[in-house]
Amino acid sequence: MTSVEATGNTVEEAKRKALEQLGVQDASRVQFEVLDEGKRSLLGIVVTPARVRAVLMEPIESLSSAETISQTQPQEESLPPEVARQVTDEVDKLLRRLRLNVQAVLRGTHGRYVEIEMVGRDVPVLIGKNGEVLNALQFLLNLIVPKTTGLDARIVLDGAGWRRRRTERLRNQVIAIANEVKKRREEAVLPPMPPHERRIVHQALKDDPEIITYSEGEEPNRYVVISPREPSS
Amino acid sequence: MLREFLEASVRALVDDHEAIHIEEERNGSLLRYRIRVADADRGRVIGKNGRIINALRTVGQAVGSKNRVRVQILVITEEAQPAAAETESEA
Repeated sequence: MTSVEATGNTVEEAKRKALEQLGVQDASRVQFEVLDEGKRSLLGIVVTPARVRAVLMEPIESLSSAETISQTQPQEESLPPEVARQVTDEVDKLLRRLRLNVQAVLRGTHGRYVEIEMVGRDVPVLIGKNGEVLNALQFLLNLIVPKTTGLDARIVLDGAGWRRRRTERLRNQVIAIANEVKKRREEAVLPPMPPHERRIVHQALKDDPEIITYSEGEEPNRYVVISPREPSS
Repeated sequence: MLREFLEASVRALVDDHEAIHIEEERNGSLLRYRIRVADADRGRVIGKNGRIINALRTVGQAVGSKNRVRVQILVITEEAQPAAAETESEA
């Protein structure tokens, strides 16, 4: 896959430049990832330029070989970019109805998951304490958007990188716990988590040959157990 | 403030669009929404263990606090029993 990075005074400008670099006119063949929104001083002078990464999507058939999950990079078959864009538009439309300064931006796709980030001044309002508003909104969007669009996609909603940072923290904690589990040869029971966070735990440890993970309990108190894998004999 | 958002959300959740009525009532710093849907659709707005209505409340209250109002969101059926609906909302 070809990918380039470009900068500009605005995200839009950076995207335009990225397309030029790729020599592509059809933006639907390209998946954008906004690396940096860019910053402006009070007077509107650009302090940090906006930065985007653009990935040129190969024709779908090249993905089929990736279905067998590789050890290093799990490459599930991704949703077509049009679908991801359509889902993002729908999320944006719904957010707009809240009359806040918040916009939905497509960050990328992983398998059935469309990663959408909210940007804008009022994002903190929609994150809330410990992300409770963010999680409520994500839950609602996953009920509403498939119904209004007829598309089978799961939305992972982020607000100004909050979830990304939390995911990173969670992953590190889980790996530390797994090391403890190996040392003590004892199961560790994690606190209840919403489905997307349990998924992060499973994903973080799925390549660890000494560990197995599974979920127990009923929503919303479902939790993950990290367990030492019995030596196969 | 939340009417459009609630309308769009409820519309996506229920089957009987004709039966949707959303009332907005402002009382000082309290903003109350009464969502009326067909009896058969009630569960689609409330959700298992109230998950859906509670998510709507969480988002509604967050937007409300930004606008310095308290937000109350109630679900009422066609043959509404306001007393029962009132108490349920206070959670």
